[in-house]
Amino acid sequence: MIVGVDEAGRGPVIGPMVVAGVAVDSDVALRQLNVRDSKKLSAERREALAPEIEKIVRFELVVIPAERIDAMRAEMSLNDFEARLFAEIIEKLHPETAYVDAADVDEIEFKRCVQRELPFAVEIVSQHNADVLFPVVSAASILAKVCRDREMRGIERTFGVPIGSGYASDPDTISFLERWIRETGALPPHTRASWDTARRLLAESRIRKLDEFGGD
Amino acid sequence: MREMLEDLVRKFNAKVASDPTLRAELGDLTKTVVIELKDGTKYHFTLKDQKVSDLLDGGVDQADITIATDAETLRALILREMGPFKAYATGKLRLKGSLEDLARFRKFF
Repeated sequence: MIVGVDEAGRGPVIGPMVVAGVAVDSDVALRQLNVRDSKKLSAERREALAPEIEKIVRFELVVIPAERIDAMRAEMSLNDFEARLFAEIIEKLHPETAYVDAADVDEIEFKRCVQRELPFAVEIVSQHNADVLFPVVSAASILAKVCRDREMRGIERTFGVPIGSGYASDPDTISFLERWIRETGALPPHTRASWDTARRLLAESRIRKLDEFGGD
Repeated sequence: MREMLEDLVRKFNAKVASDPTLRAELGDLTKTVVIELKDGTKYHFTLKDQKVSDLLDGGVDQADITIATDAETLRALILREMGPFKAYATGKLRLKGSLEDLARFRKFF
């Protein structure tokens, strides 16, 4: 059996990170589905593929809320945490070979980190862009992305206003955060407070308030 | 739950007794672990001299690791259906103490 593990939402300032593991005896059926890197597929295509993938694989999805990411980052690096979560998913799915999208710049180091956590011998293939190279990782990448998108839409519904993709590069996300901070003086729920973007926006808002207080 | 935990302790001590590599890895590691279940039940045990003491009822003040969780999650952790990082990441397990210690400790079981 082979397993592919990938994540979605490692970098955004709003919303969860989702880690997915997909297990199959052979990736032939995934190739027939023409699964590819989730980022290269439209949201509609990913949504259509996800249930097809779920029908033919065993899978494991872990949704890590923003506040847990903050708590965990106080204890260890995101890379270490990811390696350990990947290992737990691999342990549960128990393959002979696991393909992982390397979170660390050093693929070999990431492989060592994952392997160190496993209680049994598994061949680990750790590569950057594994989601492009291996269909089983592409499938994991699609399930993770679809799950995160659904989580984001759920969060957006609770706010009742557009929040964008959650990434700092998204103007909708930044204007949502700026508006919320201006109105409440705090970060909104589901925001990663340990992220530089969140800290910067909070600090800028406090400086603006001081300027207004001492202004002409 | 008590029986399950006692069985885990027995297995751990038997494993240590028969595995010199594990004994070397444990070295002089000494840790007191408290388990707090949502229904208020508490247990604790101590790892010392490469042996886990009997499982005792109630908590202790100076625990190195306190695990607060529900019975279902604890069962899944013991049966290795769930890992501690997943339990922690998804908020099913709260921890006082180091996450590293918890992971290190679990590896021995």
